[in-house]
Amino acid sequence: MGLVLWVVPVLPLLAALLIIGGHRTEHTAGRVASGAIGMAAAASVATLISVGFGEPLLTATSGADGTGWGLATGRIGAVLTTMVTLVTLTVVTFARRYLLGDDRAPRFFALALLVSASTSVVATGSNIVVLAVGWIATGLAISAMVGHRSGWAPARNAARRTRISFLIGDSALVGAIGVIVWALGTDAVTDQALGLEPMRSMAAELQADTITLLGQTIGANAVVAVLLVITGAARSALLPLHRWLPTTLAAPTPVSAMLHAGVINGAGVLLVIFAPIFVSSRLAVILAFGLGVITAVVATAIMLVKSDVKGSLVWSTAGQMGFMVAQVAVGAFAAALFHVVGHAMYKAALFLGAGQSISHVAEHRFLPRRSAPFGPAIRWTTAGVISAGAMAGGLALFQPHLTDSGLIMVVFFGWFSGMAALNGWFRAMPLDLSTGLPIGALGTAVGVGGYVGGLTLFEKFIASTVPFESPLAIGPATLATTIALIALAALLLRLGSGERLEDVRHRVYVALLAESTPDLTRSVTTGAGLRAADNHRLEQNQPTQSAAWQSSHIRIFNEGTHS
Amino acid sequence: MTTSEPTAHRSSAADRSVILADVSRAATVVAPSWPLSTFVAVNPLGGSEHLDFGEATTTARLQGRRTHLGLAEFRAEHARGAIVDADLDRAIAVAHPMLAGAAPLPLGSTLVTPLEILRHDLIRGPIDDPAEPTAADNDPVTVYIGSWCAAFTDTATATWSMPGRDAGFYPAWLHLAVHDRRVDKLVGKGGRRWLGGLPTNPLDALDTSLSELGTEPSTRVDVLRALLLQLPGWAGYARWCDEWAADGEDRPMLRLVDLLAVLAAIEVARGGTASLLLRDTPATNAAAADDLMSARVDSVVARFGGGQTEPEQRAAVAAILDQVPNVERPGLWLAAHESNFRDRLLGLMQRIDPGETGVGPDAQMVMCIDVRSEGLRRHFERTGNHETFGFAGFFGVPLRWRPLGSSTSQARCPVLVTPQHEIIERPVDDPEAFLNQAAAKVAADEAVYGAKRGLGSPFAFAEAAGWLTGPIAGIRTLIGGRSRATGSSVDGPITAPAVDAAQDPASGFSLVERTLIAETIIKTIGFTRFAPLVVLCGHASHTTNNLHASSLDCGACGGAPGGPSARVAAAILNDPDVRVGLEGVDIQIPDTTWFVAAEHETAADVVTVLDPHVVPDSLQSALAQLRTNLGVAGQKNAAERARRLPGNPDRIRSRGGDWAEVRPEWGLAGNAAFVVGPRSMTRDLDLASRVFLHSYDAESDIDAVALETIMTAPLIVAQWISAQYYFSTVDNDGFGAGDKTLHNPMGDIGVVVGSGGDLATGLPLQSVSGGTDRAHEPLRLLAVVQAPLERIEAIIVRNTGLRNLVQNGWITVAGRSHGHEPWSVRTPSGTWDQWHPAETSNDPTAASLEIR
Repeated sequence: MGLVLWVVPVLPLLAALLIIGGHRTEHTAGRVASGAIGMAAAASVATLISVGFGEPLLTATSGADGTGWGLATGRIGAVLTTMVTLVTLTVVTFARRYLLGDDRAPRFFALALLVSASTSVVATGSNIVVLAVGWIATGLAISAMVGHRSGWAPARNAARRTRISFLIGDSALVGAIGVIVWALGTDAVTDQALGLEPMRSMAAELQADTITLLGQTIGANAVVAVLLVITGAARSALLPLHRWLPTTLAAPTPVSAMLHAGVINGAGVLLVIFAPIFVSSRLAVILAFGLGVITAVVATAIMLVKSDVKGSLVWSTAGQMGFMVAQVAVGAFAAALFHVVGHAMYKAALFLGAGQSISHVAEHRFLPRRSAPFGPAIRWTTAGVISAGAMAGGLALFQPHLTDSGLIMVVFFGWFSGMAALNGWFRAMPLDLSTGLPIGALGTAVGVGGYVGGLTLFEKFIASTVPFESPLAIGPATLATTIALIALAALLLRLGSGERLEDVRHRVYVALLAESTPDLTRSVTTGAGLRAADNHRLEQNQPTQSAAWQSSHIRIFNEGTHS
Repeated sequence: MTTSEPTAHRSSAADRSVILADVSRAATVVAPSWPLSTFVAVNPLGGSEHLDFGEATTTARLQGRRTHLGLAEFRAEHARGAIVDADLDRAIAVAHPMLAGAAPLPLGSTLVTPLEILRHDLIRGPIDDPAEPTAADNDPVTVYIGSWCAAFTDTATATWSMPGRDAGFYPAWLHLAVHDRRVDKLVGKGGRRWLGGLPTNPLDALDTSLSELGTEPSTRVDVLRALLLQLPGWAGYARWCDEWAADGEDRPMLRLVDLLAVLAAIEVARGGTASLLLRDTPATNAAAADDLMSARVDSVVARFGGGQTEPEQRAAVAAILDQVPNVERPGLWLAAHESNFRDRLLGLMQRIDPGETGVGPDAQMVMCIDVRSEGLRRHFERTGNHETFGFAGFFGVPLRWRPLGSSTSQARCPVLVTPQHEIIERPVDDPEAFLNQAAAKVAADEAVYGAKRGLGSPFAFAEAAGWLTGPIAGIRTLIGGRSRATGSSVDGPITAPAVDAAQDPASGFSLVERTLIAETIIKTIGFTRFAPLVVLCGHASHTTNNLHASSLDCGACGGAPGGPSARVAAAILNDPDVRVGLEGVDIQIPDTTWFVAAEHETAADVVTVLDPHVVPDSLQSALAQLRTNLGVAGQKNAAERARRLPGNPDRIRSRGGDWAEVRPEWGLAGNAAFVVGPRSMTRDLDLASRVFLHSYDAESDIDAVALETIMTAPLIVAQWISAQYYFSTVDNDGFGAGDKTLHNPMGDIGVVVGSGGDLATGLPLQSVSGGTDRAHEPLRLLAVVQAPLERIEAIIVRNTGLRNLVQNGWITVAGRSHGHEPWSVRTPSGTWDQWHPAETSNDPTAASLEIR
């Protein structure tokens, strides 16, 4: 089975090199790409089955325990590579038709394969350095994909912004490795497997080493953990490192699908792999929780004001990443991975189907609508009660094994989603109450119960490979208080009345809308400067595209002498 | 930076009306842009049709657009034989008759005619094509104002919509702009303060800003135009709101005055002035033009003169080339390209024996004039003793359609017509199950929307829903679309359009109206006999994940499916009372004749018979045969279209259902001519789905009423479509919507390219290009009319809009009085010249209209 694991990153990598080196036509490149990624996906599924029934796979070059240079995977790695290869298979197959006629399609295929290969290396690398190589390669490949339309300034700008943000994250990752090497020596990096137990001991060893920074003595573990949080924040577009994300819409739809499904959830993956080190630092946990919560609130609020479909998807992703990092910070590691996989599939599907929105809006305008049988207060209350019942039922039925904080997350957000969905159903309730109510309640029970059930199954599958502990820094009480305060503030802003509050609402609305147009955050020549520049150009009487003019002249003269 | 307070103007009523008038004059610089859910093709330069085509395109080029193919592209057409030397000679002769007829001049040791010199210059002379225009790099002002336009107009996506938008765009913006820190980045802090002092009335504000910009009354329209061109897509949408939106349209209206008030205010705040706005784009570089001219002369001299050319001979060559400045060369190529197409089409039609078919047909079918009908008609005619007709796909019934159970209706007629009547789809059998199902769909959708779009609900929802939507997306992608070979089974209950206002006061037409509609249909088409089954076949295109889906629907139905119009028309023509009324105007429809409604689904080429249950039992077996024949015709047409579309030809009938497909069908790409006359003119010809076919019988239209209608309504619509395809092809980023794969939808209004900015109007790149190959030949429309020339001429002369199009070279008209006469082509000066094909090296028997 060891060989099968190698197939997952190597075959796509070889295929990518073949496409790039061989100057393949679009058709051939598409075939090569889907063949390679198809086999990689099959190998991933085989690996998943293998580790699901048996032992972790170890294919590293030295050490019977899977240490050294190579690949090694337990259940987490297998789940992640299965998800990434299947998403890539879908996106590549989609792009073979979608990008037909685009002369840069071969480049797209090659880079998509590289993203899949390098993400697989992140998930299955046998030591930190292998992981870091995969991590950095993923960033480079996806930034190149973002710049797909390289002749167009917004695309180049987006690729540049993405690279810069990733450079910050990648530097932090390299820094983290440097600190580990400094503290524990080279062997600790190269011969240390990435499993739960080895990481625990590494965390303990790091904690023993202290660094004095600005007069403060802190453990090396804290430095590493904080650097890892920064690494994840840059990749997962957490505030304040989020501004590159909206610009990536300058890339074709399949690039967005790749980015939002395969790459952006890096923080979740990274912090789960390094969970023991991460939770060993109060500072890192508080930092991650803070960034996560702020991003979840702000980005999701921006989504609410966005009027373009892809823009709202982008901001939804940023919010979801904030939520995911908050999950990690409260120690809900399995739930965070469940989110990584679920959200990846969710967002890939939404991006690929973004073209459905206009027909959808148009069609729905003519569908018969019936007015809701009751007003908002009763609607929300009924929905809330039913959803709570569904949640209680789900918990009783599946009995998920959760920490207190994990339970709070699952119960509150699962219940909230069920309530919001059921409230939506009631708002356009199609049938009379005696049919519509049971159908809605049944749907909610299936949805909320299914969520609890799915999460429980997933959690059981990977239980042995993630820590099961609430970090001390953010305990259940802090979590519950945070959620309650945010909910109260949101309710007040939404429902409160009065002139002052109205003014606040307007300011918040404008601030959110403003934050959503990152192109305007770069400095722009002000009015006076603009006029001066224009006058200057007028005086010079130089056409702006003088360079283009000159080059075309050279062409003319050359042609002239030929004919 | 402007720091002073704005000198608030409170304009008088007179001032206001002058500004308003100037605003609507300025608006013609952009074409109106319909919401994308009902795509309507328009001429992007429609506001310049009172100008000569050359003049209008010159202005557009100064605004930074491209209006013709480049010389290199024309030369590629020449190399593959789509334009031949004789076409160029003719184009030169028409544009420069003096030069073409001039005596040869000595050059070196030979004599060379000016024609040869110009031809050489066009085919091989040095060229200086402007660089291929690319999508605009999003200008900060465009992004900023675009984001507010989007926020203001959106009704579908945002959960938290723009506060105060009921007051209108400008007042709502002004109220919020003072909080917007982006304004600082655009115009500085002082600029934001200045904005805060503006009056809240958009007209007053516009007046204030215009004076602040230093606008003279004489240049006000030009200043307004320059402002609108900063955001042509949203300006086009605002023009739709102002001029075309129906009264009851339930959405926030972006008014031109509001948009201009914002644009002008920002312009003042950022330190702009009227003179800066009016400055032309880079003046042509005189030195470069001289260099190019001298290179052109060199090329001619080198080709003909050998080494020994006298300076005066050189001067003579220069004098000839001076007549055709570089900017006019693409125009000559375009004329040559059109001449080639004209020769091919008229040549093909001349070879047809215009004899009448003797035996009465077993079935007749009326289809939309849409170019896509041509292929299906041809194949249907070959499956039996069938006769087909072309007529605008709304079948002459101006209506608003209200689907079963819906509370909303939608116009289903050309946008030039304002429908006065709403037709409601009424259930015949019990609709309860259908209505419940449809309403459940809405509610389920609301449930998803409710969970997706809240502050706390999306998190658990996304991680749970992904396990369902992800696998579905994967399966959809791997399978592709389902192949559709037969008509979709009707999934709703049996319904009928309520067409009789006497029975249903809320819906329908009076008997007098219905009889008039029926008479118009029969007379305009020129029906002289009736088969037992007459199919009225509308059309629609069923595609998925396609933001431009409605651009593939029926343009004559306002960018919507044509089935309902066909159903209403058939119901009217089958109405016994109407038939009695028709006898009064000498139209006898036999009792044995039944009109059958149908819909042609153009992506898969499947024809679905609508309301089959109302067809009398006696005709059911004939109907079964008809369906079989339609099935065969559809299959053949699909196979024919498969050759033109890129990708696997076996997938032709599943493309529409494939969510990864960006070219489900070619739509009207390739359209080039509009033929008015009996089918005998074109029967048996393969016109490659490039020609609009409108039935007309000159003999039964002595008073020319029908021809006047055809030439002032369907012909105009066809010209809009033709111009839309033309300009979307020559400058897809400027006039078209750009690359589909970058499109980002805004509710049902339209798309932006990438993360934001201006609304992208027109056709996407994938509608006119297969990648390396163009799918559309950008030609101006050729109208071919079989009717007495004096009748055609009289109609042209007395209709201003049509006359503008013809005189100014936006369309060319060819005609002949009857089938045995040679063709004549109308010159812009109003004379009719007999048509001769240019001498071509092409084998006339191989003539085809296929683009490639």
